[in-house]
Amino acid sequence: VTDSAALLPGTLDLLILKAVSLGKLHGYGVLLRIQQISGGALQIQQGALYPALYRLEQQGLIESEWGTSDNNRRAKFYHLTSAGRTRLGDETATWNRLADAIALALRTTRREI
Amino acid sequence: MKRAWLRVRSVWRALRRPAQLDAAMQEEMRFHVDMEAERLVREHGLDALEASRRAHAAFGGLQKYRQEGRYVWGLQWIDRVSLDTRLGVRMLLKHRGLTLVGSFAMTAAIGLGATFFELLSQTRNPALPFPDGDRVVAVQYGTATPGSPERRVLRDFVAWREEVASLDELGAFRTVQLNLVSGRGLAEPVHVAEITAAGFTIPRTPPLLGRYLLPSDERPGAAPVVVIGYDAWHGRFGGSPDVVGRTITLGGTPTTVVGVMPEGFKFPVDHQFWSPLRLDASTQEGLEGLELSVFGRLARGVSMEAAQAELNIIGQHTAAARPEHDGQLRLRVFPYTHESLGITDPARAWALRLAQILVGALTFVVAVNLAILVYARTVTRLGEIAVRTALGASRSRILAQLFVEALALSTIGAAIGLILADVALERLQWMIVTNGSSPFWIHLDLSLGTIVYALGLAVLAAAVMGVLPGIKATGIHPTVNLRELNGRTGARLGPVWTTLVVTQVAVAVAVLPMAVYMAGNVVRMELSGAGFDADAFVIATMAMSDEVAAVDADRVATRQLDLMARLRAEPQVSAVTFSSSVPGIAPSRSLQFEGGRTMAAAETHEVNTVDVALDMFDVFEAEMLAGHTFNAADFGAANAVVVNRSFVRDLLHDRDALGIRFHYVGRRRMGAEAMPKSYQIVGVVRDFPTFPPSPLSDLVPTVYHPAAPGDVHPLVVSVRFGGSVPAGFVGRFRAIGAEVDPALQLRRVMPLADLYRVLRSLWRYVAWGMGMATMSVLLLSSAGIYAMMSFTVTQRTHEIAIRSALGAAPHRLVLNVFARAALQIGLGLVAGSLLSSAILIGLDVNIARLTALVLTVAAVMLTVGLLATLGPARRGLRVQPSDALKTN
Repeated sequence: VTDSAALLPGTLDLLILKAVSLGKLHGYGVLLRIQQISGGALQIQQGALYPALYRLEQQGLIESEWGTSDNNRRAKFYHLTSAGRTRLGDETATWNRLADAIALALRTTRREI
Repeated sequence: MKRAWLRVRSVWRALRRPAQLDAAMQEEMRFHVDMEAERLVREHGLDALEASRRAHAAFGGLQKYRQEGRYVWGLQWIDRVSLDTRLGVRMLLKHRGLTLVGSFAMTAAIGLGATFFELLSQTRNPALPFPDGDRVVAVQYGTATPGSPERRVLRDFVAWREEVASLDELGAFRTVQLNLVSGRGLAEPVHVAEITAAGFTIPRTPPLLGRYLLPSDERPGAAPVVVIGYDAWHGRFGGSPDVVGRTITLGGTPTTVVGVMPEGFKFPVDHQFWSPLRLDASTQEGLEGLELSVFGRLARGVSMEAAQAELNIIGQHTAAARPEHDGQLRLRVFPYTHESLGITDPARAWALRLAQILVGALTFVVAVNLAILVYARTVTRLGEIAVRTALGASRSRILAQLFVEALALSTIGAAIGLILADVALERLQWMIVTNGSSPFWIHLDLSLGTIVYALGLAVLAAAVMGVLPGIKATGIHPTVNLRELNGRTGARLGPVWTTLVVTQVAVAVAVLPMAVYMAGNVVRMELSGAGFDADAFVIATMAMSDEVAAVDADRVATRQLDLMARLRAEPQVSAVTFSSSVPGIAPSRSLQFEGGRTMAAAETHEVNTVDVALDMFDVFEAEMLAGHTFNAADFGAANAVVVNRSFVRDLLHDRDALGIRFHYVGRRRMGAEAMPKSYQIVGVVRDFPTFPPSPLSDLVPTVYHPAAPGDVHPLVVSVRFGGSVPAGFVGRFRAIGAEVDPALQLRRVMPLADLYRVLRSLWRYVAWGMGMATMSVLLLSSAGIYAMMSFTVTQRTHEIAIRSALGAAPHRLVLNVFARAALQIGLGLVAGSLLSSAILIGLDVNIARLTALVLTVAAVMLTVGLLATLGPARRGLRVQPSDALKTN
């Protein structure tokens, strides 16, 4: 039994953009960062990260380059592009509006109708 | 837009390095799993093996996500295409018969298609290979007769040069044949373009040496000058750098060489000598005078339509000034290349376009035929298709696979076809150059456009072959297809299939007799030889230059006699004679017999006519079969003629020809005669040469008229030797000609055997092309019948087995199977025979031969058809009743 929840469809891209916006990361690092910033509350199929990373790279939202990891192994590092930063801002605003609206709806009591 | 560009860029990168991309994804995902395993060891104290297992499980399948990654990078279709190609190649190897038939048919169709496409593209290409070559135009007076423009336009040309604003430069030329005598002293006729200076300014090509012609050279009284081409410079002047300033004799006039044009410059058509066109319009009245071709360049920003509009107005003024032409003259402008090749009216341009489409349609027809065969194969795979559909394969995925399989087949055909087309075009160019000249902008080799066209045809053919049967097969409900796995097919080959097979047989029977006939004639051309010792003859066409021939008939006759006397005096020459054309290659006329001895008087017959010297038959050792050879009394009013053996056989059906009278009808020499001139046959000579002039015709009925020197101009001189032709005689022949008269021109001096060889080689290629097309039709028809019968018998296996178990006699079962095939083949034979007869009658093949040909081919096709059914029928009989019943 775990407290973590499954990701909502379409939110993985947003989380990857957020994780990468906090610093240059390799794929495994993106996973750890998401778990860290979500407090381990989100369940992610690890392999699914990679098609999502390639898709974002194709869209020009992130860029990659090969480098060396902390344990001295060759790894591919991702960082946010300016287009990615704009997209992250837009998506975050949209998400916040949606989350507020849903929270508001869920908080509503009979008396408030 | 930017996103689209990023997508294209990343897909392009991925396509350039698919292997590296794969390796990078593998490395990245492996790194991830290793890092996770290390964490599990570090944080949870697991052993390395267990940690690795859990890390893999958490990742969720390396292979799966790598595959998804490939899809993101747009590489999935590479996997599919590579898989489909492997399957396609495997299918080609498995169905070898279909591969052989299909690739042969596609080779023939695409080979012929590419050859004709290249020819027609070159013909239709409106651009000359100059800067702005597509803006070079021809200006012409069209008359009431299409293809016969009025070229006597000197005065008008001078006026147009002043008036026309839509054309920047206007020039004119005419081609004359003049004797060239250079330093070596040997006279040779050369084609000289008498051309205005615009002929050099329009192409914008600077001279290699010296200068080109200038307007000042055109003035009356200017010193005679000539510009020579690169080939002539090397061929006749040894590439000498001091050729400029040298004096040569051109048409008897000492002329100074003032320039050399660079290699490849042959404007206006295929010229190597250019002299100024003297524009003395004041001496030319109206349309009288020189026949000129006029050309120009469209002014900047002016369209062809705008130029035509301006010329329409100018043309109306010209027409108004010449009421005698009854408003028939139309001033027209069109691409220069089209004028040279005679594409001067929309009907001809459309005819060429249509021909191009029809040639493409040939490949389409072949592809449809192959589609029928492929459908039969596809039907045997319905079970497989059903299983794949059940496993989730989409219809488009299955169609794509069938398309790639068909593409593998058509690509083989396209590749071999293109190689053959390249060889054919190279030979064709060689033959055109050997036989005369071709416009300088025509280069018959495979252009990129033609290669793209052929590959396009291959793709289209693959679509027809693969996708059409696929659509039909995948349209059947999967549960029906699944029955195929039990050996029973749910598909039916309907009436469309039967119609197509009948059509195939009909087309094969229609085309085959003509091909057999052509092949027979080619074999005769190859084997029979000329019927006389052609190796012992040298021929040449002798003409006096136009100015002399037009005004001095006596001089023409005298020079002809002189030349022949000089040739007779040469050592080893045994005889010299003349005729109006080379034996075996003569113009044709129509005649009608007079009196009731032959056929209906109104019936006309095509015959070849030749004017010959009295001793022609003796020199060619053509013996008389009846009557007598010509003698001096046959000149004049006697109107005696000799006919050949084919004339008697084909037109008189072997009746006695002597004394029969006839007259010519239709064109030529009819103008002033109130009554047509009557001729009487006084002798019959054997056919010579004994090979047909082309594979499309038989030996041609020929009429020989007696001629005296001076009657015929130009004439063909035939020189016979006691043995073989001595080396260097061709040069000697020319030297004698120049000595007899500087204005005497000798054209195409060559051994007669060489001329015949060139003619035969041309027809040999035509016959090969026809042969390939015919063989592909035959193969397709046979394979079509075979496939149909095989499929029909497969469908009836169950029924045959039960009937066999119930005691039906095998021969009855075989007959039953044959009956359907025989009906379809029979229908095809009847339709094809009718078509074939129509074609052969059109070619004037005699009835007995026609019947024999059609019957032979029909018998062969029937045998092929029934043999094709034999195998499947025997297979049907070999089915064990118990096996057949198992599938129920």
